[in-house]
Amino acid sequence: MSTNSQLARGTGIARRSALSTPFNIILALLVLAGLVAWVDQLSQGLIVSNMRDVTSWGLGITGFMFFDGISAGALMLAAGARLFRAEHLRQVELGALIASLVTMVVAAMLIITDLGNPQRLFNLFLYPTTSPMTMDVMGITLYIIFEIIYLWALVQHRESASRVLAAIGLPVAVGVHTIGAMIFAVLVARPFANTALIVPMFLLSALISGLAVVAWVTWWGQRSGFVPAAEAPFRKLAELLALAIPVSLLLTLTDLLTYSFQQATAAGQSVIAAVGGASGWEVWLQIALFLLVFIALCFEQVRQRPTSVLTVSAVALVGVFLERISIMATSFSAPLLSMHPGVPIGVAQPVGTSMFATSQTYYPSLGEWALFLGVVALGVLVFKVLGRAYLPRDVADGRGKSD
Amino acid sequence: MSDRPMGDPKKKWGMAIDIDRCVGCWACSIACTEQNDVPMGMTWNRILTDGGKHHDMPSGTYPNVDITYYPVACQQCENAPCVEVCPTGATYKRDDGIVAIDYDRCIGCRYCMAACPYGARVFNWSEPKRIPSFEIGASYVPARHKGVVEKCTFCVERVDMGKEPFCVEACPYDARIFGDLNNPESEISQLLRTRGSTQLLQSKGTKPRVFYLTKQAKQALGQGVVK
Repeated sequence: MSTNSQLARGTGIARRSALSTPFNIILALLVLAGLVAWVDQLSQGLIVSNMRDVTSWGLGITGFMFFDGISAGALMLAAGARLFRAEHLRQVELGALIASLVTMVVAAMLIITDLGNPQRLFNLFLYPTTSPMTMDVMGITLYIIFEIIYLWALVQHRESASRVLAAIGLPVAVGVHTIGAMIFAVLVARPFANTALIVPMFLLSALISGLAVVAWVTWWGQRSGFVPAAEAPFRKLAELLALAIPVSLLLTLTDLLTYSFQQATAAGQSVIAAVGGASGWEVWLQIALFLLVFIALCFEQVRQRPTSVLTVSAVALVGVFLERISIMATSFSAPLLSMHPGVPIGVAQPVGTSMFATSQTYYPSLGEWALFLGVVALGVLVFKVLGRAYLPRDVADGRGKSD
Repeated sequence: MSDRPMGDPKKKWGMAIDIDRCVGCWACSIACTEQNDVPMGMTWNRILTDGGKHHDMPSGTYPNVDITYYPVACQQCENAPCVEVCPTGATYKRDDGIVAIDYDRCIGCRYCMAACPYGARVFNWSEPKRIPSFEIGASYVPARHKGVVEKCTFCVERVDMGKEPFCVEACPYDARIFGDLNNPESEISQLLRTRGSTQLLQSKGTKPRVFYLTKQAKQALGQGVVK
């Protein structure tokens, strides 16, 4: 047992806000709803979702990429803070790592609950191929094991081990999320995603969403007595956000601009139809939100105050989620072969309704939302448990000696 | 994988569709559905209209109108994107070129559906529904259940028996020709040489094994035909 834990037990209970218990009850109810939705999906099949043959990937895979990115971004911050001796960020290293571990497990759960035959999950390990998805599954498995080891090293205050693990952790974070991006990059059928730009776009989204979540984790840590207010690195996080957002915007706009010149090709037509159609709003709203965040962060007052940093972080997080949706719902909405009557919808239709469609405007069903929110709520609960167990109560001791 | 029939490696199966003869009657699609017990709401084969704004509408203004039908099913690509992305090898390419699916291994991740540029794959979103409520089709075609992907297999069970795919037999206008591309004397090889052909989405590099024989009756206006 480290001295820190003994100290923690000695200094009494951590602060809990009055909202904590009702919030935990809501989370528990969401988990229950998610479980019910999952059982419903297992018995009836994925027909309970709004996914069909046109848009065959939806909220589950969107959520997977979203949380995979948050995890990678949070690990980049945690490992980067230790490696580059960024003292401002050291306070949040442990919280960021716990968040990173929990969000990657959430991502994995969102993938598993999206499978048509989840009972055959282990086929992924029994019959591996060179598919980017196989590599992502293997990568994520190793990543989770790695993070557990890294967490153990931090909690046990093994300074030199932590430094080595941080050095491994940074390329691991970049690598695993890059493999995730490659899942989409290879899809010639989905031109919006079929670009080399998708890799840096995803990595930036990982950084942005990771920064945003670490900001909120820091807020939670403060409220619960783990991080002294004076040391919370909101300003530093805001500065990093202010750098990452415009680069991400540049990549998205470059992608769109390039396709706008390709109207003569099937790929160009598909992207223009998707982005300009009923499923295109995700792209435009994301760009608008990112612009808003960037403009806000140009102001010193916004970067200085924790409340404003948290607000822009939340907006940035919504923007990243919209970007993840656009890779799915927008990208899939306009099939490459656009001739009529289109692609089979895949489910029996009422008499008089065509069984084909040339596009799909996808919105998740109630069951999909329940399942998604249930898994996320479980993640939040697990994070709180791990956070209370491992975050040091007295931070003066917990800062760790330098090598 | 050793118990999977891989076909004759000396054969290279392909299909040619004579779009001069295709009248968009959908007999091939219905025949395929019957033969392969394809459930309600799903089809392995569909007939696309290259013409105006709707199915069965020609392009142009009367009297200068034109219409072409493109029956589209799995193109059995040489560089099949679906095979490249399947994480469990449930979708695999046989030695004779047919892209087959092992329904018992498929985990239902639908990555192959994301990868197919032709929209050729359909997913069992629920336990298959049929009208009538019993299974139909050939008894040697494997059954599929909810959570797996399916698609045209060039009637691989029939091919392994030395027969032709059922759509080829069913077409009332003999618009479909199936054969061995490795045999220069096969009907399909001769037709491809004499008639010339196009393929769908050629620029994507999938190298399909389905060829659309060049239209000779009238010049196609080219709307919607993507290269």
